[in-house]
Amino acid sequence: MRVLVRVLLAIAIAIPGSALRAQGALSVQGFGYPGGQLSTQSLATGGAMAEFDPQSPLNPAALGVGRRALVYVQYDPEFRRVSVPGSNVNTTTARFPLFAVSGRYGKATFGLAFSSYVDRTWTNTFVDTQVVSGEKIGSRLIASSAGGISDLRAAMSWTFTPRFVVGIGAHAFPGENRTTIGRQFDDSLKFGNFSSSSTLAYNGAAVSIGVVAIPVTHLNVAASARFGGTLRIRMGDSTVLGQGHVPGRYGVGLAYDGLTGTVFSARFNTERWSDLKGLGSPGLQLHDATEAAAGVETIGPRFGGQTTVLRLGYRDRGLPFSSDANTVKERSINGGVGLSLARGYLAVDLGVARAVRTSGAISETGWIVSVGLAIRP
Amino acid sequence: MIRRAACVIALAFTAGVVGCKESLDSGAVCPSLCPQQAANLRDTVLTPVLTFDSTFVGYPVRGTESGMLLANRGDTLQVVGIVRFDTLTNIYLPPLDSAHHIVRLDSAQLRLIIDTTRATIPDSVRFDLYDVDDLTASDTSAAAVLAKFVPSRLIGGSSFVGSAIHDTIRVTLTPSAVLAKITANARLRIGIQVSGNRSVSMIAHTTETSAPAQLRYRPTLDTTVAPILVSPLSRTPVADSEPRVALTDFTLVSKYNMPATLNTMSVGGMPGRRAYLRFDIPKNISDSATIVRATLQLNQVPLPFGGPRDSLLVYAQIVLAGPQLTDLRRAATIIGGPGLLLSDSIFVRPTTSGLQSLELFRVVRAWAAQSSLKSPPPRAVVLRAAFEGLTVSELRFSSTTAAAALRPSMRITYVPKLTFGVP
Repeated sequence: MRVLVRVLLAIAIAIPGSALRAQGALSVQGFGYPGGQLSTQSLATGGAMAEFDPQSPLNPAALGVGRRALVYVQYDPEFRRVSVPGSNVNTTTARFPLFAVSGRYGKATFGLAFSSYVDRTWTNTFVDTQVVSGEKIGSRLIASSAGGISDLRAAMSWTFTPRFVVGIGAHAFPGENRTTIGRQFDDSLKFGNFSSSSTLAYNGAAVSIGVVAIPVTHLNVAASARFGGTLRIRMGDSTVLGQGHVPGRYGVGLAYDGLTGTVFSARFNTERWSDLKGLGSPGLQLHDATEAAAGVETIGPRFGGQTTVLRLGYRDRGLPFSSDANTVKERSINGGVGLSLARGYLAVDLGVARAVRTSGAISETGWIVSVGLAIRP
Repeated sequence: MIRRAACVIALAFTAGVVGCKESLDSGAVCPSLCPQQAANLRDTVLTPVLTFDSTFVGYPVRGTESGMLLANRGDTLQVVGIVRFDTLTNIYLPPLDSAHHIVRLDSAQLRLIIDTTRATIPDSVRFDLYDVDDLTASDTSAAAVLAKFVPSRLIGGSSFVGSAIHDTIRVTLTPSAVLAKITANARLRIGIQVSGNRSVSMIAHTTETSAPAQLRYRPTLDTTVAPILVSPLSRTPVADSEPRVALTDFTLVSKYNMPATLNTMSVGGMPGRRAYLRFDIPKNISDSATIVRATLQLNQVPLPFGGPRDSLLVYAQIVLAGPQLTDLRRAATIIGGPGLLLSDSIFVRPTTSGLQSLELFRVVRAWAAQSSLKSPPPRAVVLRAAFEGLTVSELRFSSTTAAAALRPSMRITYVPKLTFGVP
């Protein structure tokens, strides 16, 4: 236990040095980039295992699939390249998208997860010339946003039989965006620089239900749904600027483990982002998004006396926000490895995703590296 | 084993966090992907922008000038200098002898150190020295002193070729006139008037610049006796030391026949003028929008004379006097230092006409920030000349009483209140 405390302490010290961040790009329009709330394990299979994954806070029933107790933390840096006609830019982002704890009591498993729902962190600096009363005024425009909306889920699963588990979850969606816009003028004698900051706060709620079943030997089926309640955006802590609903979500997953040591999985998920209508400005481009994924997980070579797990997946989805009427599509090829250490008390998952996002003539590519650390006391 | 593995993982995790340095700026792809990020500029012209303006004369306070202007422009302008020697040495000490009372003078001179860098010196220049002492008049009475510049009170003078005037000049005093003061134990107050074959203007150093005029006289023909040097000193007014020190040397304007212009405010000239400008900027602009530029636009009214060397530097200074001070002439002296919220200036000839501008955005922003105060200071600035009291140049601008098109106005460029942040 002392070891566990030390490890958690080391992680806790490390985390504040680099908060959850993202950047202004094709993928962070609107309310930000939805990472998908996938654990490293699920990410490595393209999200195909997410409905069965106790660490991914999507299907509350999946909590019953996991071990007796679990503490999980994840780190996902992304190295991104955005291309518009005539210009490219490279950015680096660091995110801590998921922290979760769970424990079992009899047939019930309880879990608490804090995950990044959408991440709206970016900075844009560019030279801009405006003509005011016939005079050209040169300046450098600086805009930035930090923060996002998180999903705090308290969930419980109930294992009726090893082949049938159900779950229910209660979600709170707190969030904050710290936004700044400013201009720095070339002629500082005539012009005073301008900077305006505001803090937006979000709060919302939702409930989710799920089921994991094995109707036929070796064929696993999981499904989950989230029903969104009201989601509000406020200026600071007071004025309500807008109101919408937490997007409803429905997902189903299949997994086949008939081949010893190997699991084939697939997932289909749809999320009704148009439920956010009213939360943002009228011109916000909202797109309901569907997601399809397929992946495989298989036993790999032994490492230090412990088995390893190799994962591979493909993910195809739409992103909910765009700068114009064109939907942003994201496709990614994913892979990863899972290591079990310390006689199974520690599990380290490493994943990587090569994502390509396109919208009209604009494209974006990114390498997402994911490191997940699970401690099983 | 558990301990070792845990430490390795924790260290690797920490290294990964620290080692991944964020680089968030993706502005190179804007504005393609940044349609909401505009913060567009708008502008408006406020006319009128002043509640009122006033011109006050007499800056700086007499005797506190950092120099003594001596100028003569024929019928237009005459500025004279006064130097007080209220204590004169009346004994001298020959070598190897006891002190002797002065009973005769061999020679007497007034030494002046001239700042030639800002001088207009014609081919021929004459300095006339007058006895301007008046035991009856008040120290603050300029008229009584100026009345002494008459031939009957002439006590000395010298003529110079213009090119011969360098840093130091010595003007001859009539020895008998000085001796009379010495023997009577009286004070010697010298009025200095300059003239030339054309316009002449120069600045003599004073006590304020640590190189004042100096009285020099020889009490004997014996060249082994050192001449006596007397520094200026004022002993009146007795009750108040501050003006007493200031009046050691000072200038007086005996003639300033600049043509009057209606509906103008003025800056500079002799005596020095300051324009006090009280602003009226609508709250919906100053308090709600972010002002990025505020340009005060002034219509310059030309004066009949002024060459390139008469160009005047005018700058604005914020008034710091609170609303309780209703004496605006005094308020025009309680001002921020140059550069405090205002760094722009006008440098122009008096003969120029047309639009002149001053950038005031910092002070306008400061006023906006003060609007929530219970008793905010007046939104006022003072226009004043550089080398105030040392230059004859004057600028005039149309005032709030001028025709509407000529009144001071302010062009404001601003960013409207933004609701930036909501996607």
